[in-house]
Amino acid sequence: MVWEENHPKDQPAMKDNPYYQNQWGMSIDLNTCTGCNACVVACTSENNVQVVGKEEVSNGRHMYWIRNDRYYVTEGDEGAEDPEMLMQPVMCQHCENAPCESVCPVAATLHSPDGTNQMIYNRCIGTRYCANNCPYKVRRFNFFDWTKTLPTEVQMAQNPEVTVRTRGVMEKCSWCVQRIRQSQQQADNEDRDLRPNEVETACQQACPTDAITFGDLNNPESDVVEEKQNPRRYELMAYLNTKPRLSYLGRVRNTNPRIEEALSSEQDADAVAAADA
Amino acid sequence: MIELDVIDPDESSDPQSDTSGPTFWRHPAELEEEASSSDDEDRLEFGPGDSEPPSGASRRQFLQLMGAAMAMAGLSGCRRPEEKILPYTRGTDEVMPGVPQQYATGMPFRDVLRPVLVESNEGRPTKVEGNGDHPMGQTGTSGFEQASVLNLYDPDRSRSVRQGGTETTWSDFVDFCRQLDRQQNVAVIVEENSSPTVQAMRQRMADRFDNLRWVTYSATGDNPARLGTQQAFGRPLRPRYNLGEAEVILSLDSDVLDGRHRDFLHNTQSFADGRRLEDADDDMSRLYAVESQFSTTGGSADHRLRMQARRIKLFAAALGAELGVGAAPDADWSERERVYLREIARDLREAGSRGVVLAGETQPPEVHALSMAINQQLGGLGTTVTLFEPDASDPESQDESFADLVSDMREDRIDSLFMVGVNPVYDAPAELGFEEALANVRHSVHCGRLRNETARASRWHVPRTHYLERWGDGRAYDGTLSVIQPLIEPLYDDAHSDIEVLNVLGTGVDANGYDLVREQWRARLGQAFEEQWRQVLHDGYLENTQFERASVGTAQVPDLSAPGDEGLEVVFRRDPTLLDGRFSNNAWMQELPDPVTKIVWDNVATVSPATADELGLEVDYSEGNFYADRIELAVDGESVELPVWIQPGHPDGSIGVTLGYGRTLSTTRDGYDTPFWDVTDEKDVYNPAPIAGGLDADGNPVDVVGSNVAPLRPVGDRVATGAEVSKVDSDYLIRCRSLGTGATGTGPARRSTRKTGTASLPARAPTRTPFPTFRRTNRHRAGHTPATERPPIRPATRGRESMEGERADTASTERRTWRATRNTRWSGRRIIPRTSPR
Repeated sequence: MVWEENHPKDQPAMKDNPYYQNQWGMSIDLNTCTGCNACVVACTSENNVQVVGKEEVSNGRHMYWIRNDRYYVTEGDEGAEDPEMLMQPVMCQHCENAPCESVCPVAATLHSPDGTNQMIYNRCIGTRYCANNCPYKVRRFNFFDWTKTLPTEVQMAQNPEVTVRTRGVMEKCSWCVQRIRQSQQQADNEDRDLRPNEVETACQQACPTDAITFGDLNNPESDVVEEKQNPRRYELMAYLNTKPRLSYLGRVRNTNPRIEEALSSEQDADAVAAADA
Repeated sequence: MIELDVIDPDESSDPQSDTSGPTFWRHPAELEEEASSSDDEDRLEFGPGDSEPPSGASRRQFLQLMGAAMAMAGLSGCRRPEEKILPYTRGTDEVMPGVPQQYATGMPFRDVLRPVLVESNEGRPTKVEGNGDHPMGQTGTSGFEQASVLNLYDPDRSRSVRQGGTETTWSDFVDFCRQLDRQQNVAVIVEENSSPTVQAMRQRMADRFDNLRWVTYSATGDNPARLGTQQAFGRPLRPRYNLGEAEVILSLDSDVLDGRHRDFLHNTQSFADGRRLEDADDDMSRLYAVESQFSTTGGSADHRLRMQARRIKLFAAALGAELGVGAAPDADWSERERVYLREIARDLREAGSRGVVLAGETQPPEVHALSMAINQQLGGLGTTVTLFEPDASDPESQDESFADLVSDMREDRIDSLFMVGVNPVYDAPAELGFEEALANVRHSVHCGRLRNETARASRWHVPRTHYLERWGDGRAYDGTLSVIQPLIEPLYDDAHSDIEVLNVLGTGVDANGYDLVREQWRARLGQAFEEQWRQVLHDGYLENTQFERASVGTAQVPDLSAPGDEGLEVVFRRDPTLLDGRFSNNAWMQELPDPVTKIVWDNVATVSPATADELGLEVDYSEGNFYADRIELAVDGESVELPVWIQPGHPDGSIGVTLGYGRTLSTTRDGYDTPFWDVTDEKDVYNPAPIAGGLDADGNPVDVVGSNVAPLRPVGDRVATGAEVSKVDSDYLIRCRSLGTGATGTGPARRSTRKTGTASLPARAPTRTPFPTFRRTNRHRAGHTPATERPPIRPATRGRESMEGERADTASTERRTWRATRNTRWSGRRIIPRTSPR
């Protein structure tokens, strides 16, 4: 492919970087995700995500980096009163062709050599073009200075490894880059390579069903490499060609064919009865 | 310039325009919108009114105002807030500045202890994780463990001992306890707990006072699983469900996959073990949910049947009859219900000992007893269901003891009442009249983390320590003993733990919690105490202390007669984010959406679309927000006003409500005002009152979030019938997070229904390798290993495994060349024993 030859990730400048050895990726198994929200609170706690209050939530200005989308599912036009449900945790997809990066006038959001989409808060001037261009709607803008007024006690709950953001700055999921860097430093101090699955993101660590898998795609021993071979794998809105590093494993329902048969024949009988009437 | 490659034609087709498959939608308004939208109308890009010229304050006026504001404000507003730093000069042996430590401890949750590891940054606990080394074998947590750290730093925590509303000292309280007469009638109401040391303190109190009443209290009443096993087997047992072993699972209104469940971690992990697929044709369990709300359990189910809570017990009885347990009740079933009943029974019968039936908390003890009998009939006791024999469990019903106590209080038969960790003024059923009865008690003492409703109604109030700042102990769901070790000194000097307070009451001696817990454990551990104690603190548990597995006879099948109750039913539940109010003043949990309705900062009365039609209630959707009718919900003369929420999938004729809202907390913090050009005071969620709601100087409620529904709950039940609903007003703003956060939705998740034999999956092999070195692993995980056998994901614990042995044998060619900076951080998530007493 032409673009693959020209892609920035193949440029010498990108490869001449120690971080290039690790290429981070994630997969989320929708079959085991129950939508319990543990990941959302864990992310809040780890990444100093601020609370904005009901009024600002109603203005669409909440700050959560990961959200649990809940879909109702119905077949055809019927059943809107009694749908099925499907949960899908959505965070920054860390697209390789990230739409947010190309529109930032000050290069505040960039691709890192290890394949994550990064925010550089110091550069951000708050144009919000990136949020506008993000098809997944995972970018959050600080409309106010949420941290300035935090009571002293609550400030003590903040994670010192993560920068708190000021007003006018865009933020989003970083795949817990602070944990990645910590593990890399530790591995370097111990004069070894990173072990497979050594880095865990906060959402992954909190997940009680291990639905979230994170790891180095360059390391064949990583669980995430195996997960990505799963035939249920798909990428969210793949038709946009954003090439997300986050994959989902589609949900499978193990329905009882006898119930479906009995209910559909009953519906047919109803239809016949209605037609007769 | 990057040239993009050609997209697969089947990928490039917009799935939204594909009309053949299932429809994915997030709220009914979206369905309607989809149906009515036409192609030329680009309604997703711009909201209504976006193209209109602005009205109201013009840009010119705004600039004039801001110019004046800037002139007045001077240049004090810098971008960065001023911060002071403190030198970390006094080091300890174990703590290296900048290196977070992890400590094993346990979070008391209802009547169990959840084992956790807590990260501490220079003595400041900041993050909670699951303790994967614990015999329960779980990594991961629920949201409650994660949020519990913010409860520690709650700015509205009570800071001083109070007598009659005015501040006094801890030593005054100790004096008061010493003066108590031995002949007094003393009663203690404690929260559900699993602590052996608390039991020892109970014994000390019983030794001191001739007439001691000890009542365990919980906001939603007694645990029906406990009472149900008592009915079935003659003694209270604790069931554990091994869902990974099950092929067919039936949930009868059970919140088994919800963080509120005591054994949530085990349930959800073992359920996931049965659902993890390497390949689409792998075996996978089947979950049926019959439920009176739309829960995450129902959302995960393969077949879901909505049903009123009071009819579920009939469903259970009819199912039992199909399986040869008990007699069929007299009930009318719809065609759909009859099909479900027949096929679930057949599926369970075929699964045999691999089938399991679970009953939920909204169901009475009889249903729990019946489901145990069904499990026994299927042969599931021992495979899918393990019965634990708890060490000490009161056979009597907590609801009855509490009701007896309140009537004794009213009749002046109680002289002193101590309430530890409970808030009955807020959440006891109104029909008991707890608050009036409390006024009759001469000495009433409340010990709690917040100065809440009960604290204000009591003579004495003692601040209670958070679990991260106190010594204690408890048992996990499976009985494994743990010590709660603190990570920080109590933030407020007056704060004391429940053990310390009860000890003062029992002995009159002001002892330290550390000594009290060690005293109990010294007796338990015996030889080589110090070594074992260290080990327990290091590991977070004491080995081989699980409850015995119970051997039981044939279960007694209870009689489940027809309900006979008419009218609307109201089902009371703990809130999925605030619980019974313990997390009310936690900003993270208030803004955490309900897992299903996605509502934040509010509680609602959930009804089905048909019931809403019948009652003439509406919820309007406009520009991302919902505007709901508010109703007055009345049960037996008590009423509460609530916004209504129309929930698809909710059973008709049933109203779901959650506890934990409508709080009035007292705080010592003052609100503040900023000048009119600075909206900080309005945007600050901590201003002017506590998060959950407070009181102003005149005692009027301020900023109260939601309404308190607990007084409506009938004693000893979670379902009320004969509710009356009348509309109060309209257009109450309800905000759902995760619904339409931007111009477009993010597109649906993929899902497929498995037919027998063939898998119709949205399968797509990766067409191109994402990275040059990306290649298929030769490692293959054979099936899924149970959680207990899976190797720990956490890196090696120091002293147990050598780092050398763990070195990854990867194919990477060269080591990184960059050097560690001076500010090196160790991320080894080690468990270090906290050896020094506080």
